[in-house]
Amino acid sequence: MDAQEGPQRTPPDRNPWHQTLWSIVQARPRFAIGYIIVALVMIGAIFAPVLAPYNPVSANPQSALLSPSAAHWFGTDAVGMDVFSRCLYAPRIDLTIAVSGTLISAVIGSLIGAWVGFHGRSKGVRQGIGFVIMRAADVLQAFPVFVLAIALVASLGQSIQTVVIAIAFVNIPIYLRLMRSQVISIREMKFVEAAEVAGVSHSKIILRHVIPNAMAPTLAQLSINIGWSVIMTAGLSFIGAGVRAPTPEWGSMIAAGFQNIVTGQWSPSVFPGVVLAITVFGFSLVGASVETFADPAKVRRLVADIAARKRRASAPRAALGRGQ
Amino acid sequence: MTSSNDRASGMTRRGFIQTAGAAGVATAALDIGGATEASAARANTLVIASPSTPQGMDMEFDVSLGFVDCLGALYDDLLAYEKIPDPKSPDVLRENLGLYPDRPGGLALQGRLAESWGVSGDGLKATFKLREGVKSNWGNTLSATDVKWTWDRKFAEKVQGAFNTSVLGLTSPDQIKIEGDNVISFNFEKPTPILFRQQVSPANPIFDSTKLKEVGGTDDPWGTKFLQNDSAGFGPYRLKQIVRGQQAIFTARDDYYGAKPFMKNVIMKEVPNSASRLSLLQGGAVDIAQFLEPREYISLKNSKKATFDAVDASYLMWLSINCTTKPFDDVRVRQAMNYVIPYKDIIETVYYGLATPMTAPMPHIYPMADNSYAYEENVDKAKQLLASAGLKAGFTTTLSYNAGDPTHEPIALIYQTALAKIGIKIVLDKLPAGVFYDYVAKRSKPLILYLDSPWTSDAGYALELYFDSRSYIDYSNYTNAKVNDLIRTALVTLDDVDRKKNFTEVQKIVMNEAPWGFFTYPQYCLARAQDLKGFTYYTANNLRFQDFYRA
Repeated sequence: MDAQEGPQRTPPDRNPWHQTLWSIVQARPRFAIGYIIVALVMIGAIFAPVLAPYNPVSANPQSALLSPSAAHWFGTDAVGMDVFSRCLYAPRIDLTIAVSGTLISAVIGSLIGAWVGFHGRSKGVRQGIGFVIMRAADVLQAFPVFVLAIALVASLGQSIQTVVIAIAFVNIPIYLRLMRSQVISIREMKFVEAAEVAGVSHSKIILRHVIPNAMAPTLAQLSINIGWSVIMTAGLSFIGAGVRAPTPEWGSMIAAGFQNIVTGQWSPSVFPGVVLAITVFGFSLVGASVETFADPAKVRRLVADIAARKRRASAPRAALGRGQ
Repeated sequence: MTSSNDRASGMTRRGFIQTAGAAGVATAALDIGGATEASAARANTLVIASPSTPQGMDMEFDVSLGFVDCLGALYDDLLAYEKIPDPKSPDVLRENLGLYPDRPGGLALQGRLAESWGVSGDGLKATFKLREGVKSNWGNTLSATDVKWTWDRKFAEKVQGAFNTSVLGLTSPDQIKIEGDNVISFNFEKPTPILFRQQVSPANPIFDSTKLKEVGGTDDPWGTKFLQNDSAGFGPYRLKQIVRGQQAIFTARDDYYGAKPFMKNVIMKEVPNSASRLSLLQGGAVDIAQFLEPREYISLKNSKKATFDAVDASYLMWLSINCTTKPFDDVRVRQAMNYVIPYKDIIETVYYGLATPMTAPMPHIYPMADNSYAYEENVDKAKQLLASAGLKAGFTTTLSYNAGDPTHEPIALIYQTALAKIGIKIVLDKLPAGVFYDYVAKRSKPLILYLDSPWTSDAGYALELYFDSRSYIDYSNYTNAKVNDLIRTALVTLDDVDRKKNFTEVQKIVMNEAPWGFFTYPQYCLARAQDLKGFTYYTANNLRFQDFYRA
């Protein structure tokens, strides 16, 4: 009997790719949760015009500050805008800013970091430039990141582009250091020496041979940083330095709604806050998964865990079979 | 049983217990006495949660919220309006702004630092006889020299005072003359109907010149540096301590010439967040929570510890429409902007009923306000006006507002939706409070929301302030030669019938030409502890600590 029930738990028509994925999900369910959260947020944002029951930027004073109900799932804000519709639309801005800012910082930071790392042991001008770049990164990182971002937005003017620039700017040192530390070790490897001996130019070596082998930590950092950038975007909007009203954006929604909490209208700020927290949590879990897949040691541990799970799953069935 | 030692000391057990008991009772009595004293001290202490502490103590340079509210406690004017119960809130007193042709200056005034006052038949000379024996918070006696020095300072410093001298038609300090130790006169080339009203305004308090000359010396002859951190006036309170950003403490003066204030101490605490101010009031930690959001005032309706008063005020909430910027140089566009103002929505949703629609380009509580020409929401009319201006398809522009005023953003959002109905797309431009007033003064933004109040309760003062093209706060860049002429003529006319004729015409022209989006008259609201009484409304929208007492 058990021998017959066993295969039912794992559908026999599932191909190896699906089996592998299912095994990973079972071994690391938090990864799946992360991807589901991120996917839901992105699908919500993409299909917001279809899914949102109300115009997210149209005031409807007759419906101001309504509690959550069937008509308004998340209630309405102080001017009658539907909070659920705005929460659906918000990732369009928040994620666009966060992803753009993070990618820009990753590209710029990684390129500079690779160059500095590759020429770390050079003499003369290159060493001097590398020194200046690293000290500049020190200075940048010495500033409180949020204050630096506020200063940038204040000086460049309030717009989505400015927030993207601010986020990119404050993140560059992170990727610079990550890539530099990787490249310093890769620089000494034989294949790099071989390429140099073959007469390949330094820039080609960096782009074709060094960076592809040093990308893993950067990729892992990306997802974590996107989550962090969402918080930064919301933070800037919360203090009024982010996007303009009435653009749906989680931080500005929390800022507009939090004053109402003391008089009992909690929904305009609590729901955007919860959605923001869940989204950032999702990106954090996705970041953890990327970090695992990019690290051979962690992959080995994952494989071992999967194998152990399989052994545990098959052991009781075998024991029960012997009993019969 | 009594031990020998006890006997030796003359102390029996019963005696010890009796003594200890007596000591306990005495201690308890002392405690009760102390508690009573503490309770009395708390009763005579007014604690105010304010968005900011005073930035300075000098009206010439500082009109910050915090200072405006302690100005009337630290300084005194020559005159004051008589008080009457507010018609809508009988527990609240307010200034009697009515016109009384049989009284000096046609106003219901009472003396403060001035004992008597009068004006010559031709209106070119006004004389004030000062009260004798009045002491400043530094112990110096008030004299005509103080009044003269105060007005000389306005000419010398040329900041806020420059407007106050020009609005009276004063061009030289020599026009203010000391006629005797306690007699001062103001001499004009043309009669001015607003001199007495100006002597009521908190913009014109009298300084203790003896103290300020002493501390200023030759380096700072007008005592400007000293007044950054301390006061020198004849008001009922003195500044005890100020820690900017935290609190300011004031104490009542025993040597004040007038009635002694009930509140012996006043603590003004800086609490930037309105929700926190509300919580402190509800928790009984403060007696007054200033400048709450309308919804927060309404939330006090069910509170057992706190309540709020709302009275008609001199506040004006309007949209400055830049008349020199296209397409707002076309009067039809400006009128269309007015015909889509959703008054009902704004008043109900943003103000929770604590405002009324603006029906005149000046405070409706001031004499001579003409409420006969008002805009009503009419989208079809607005569309027709836009079409006739060649803008049937609408246009895109920017509306700027103050991030520091919690009512601005919801008003802007509701108005944005309303304007979309006639094809006008508005980009909202939220300006930090620190730079907002710079932009207002620059007059460069096409549309900017603004809240203001003309402190002097006169139609001429208010209309000149906002609509005479020579005024530095004609924020709409509005120019109309006829309006200028009518205002300027009325400002040198004493007869109220003639003045009213001019001002009525000015108001009709201005309402029709719509340099403003005429939004609302917000009420002045005060959130206070239930047992705190005495709130009096002044047209400068400020508190005076001496008015308050506990029931």
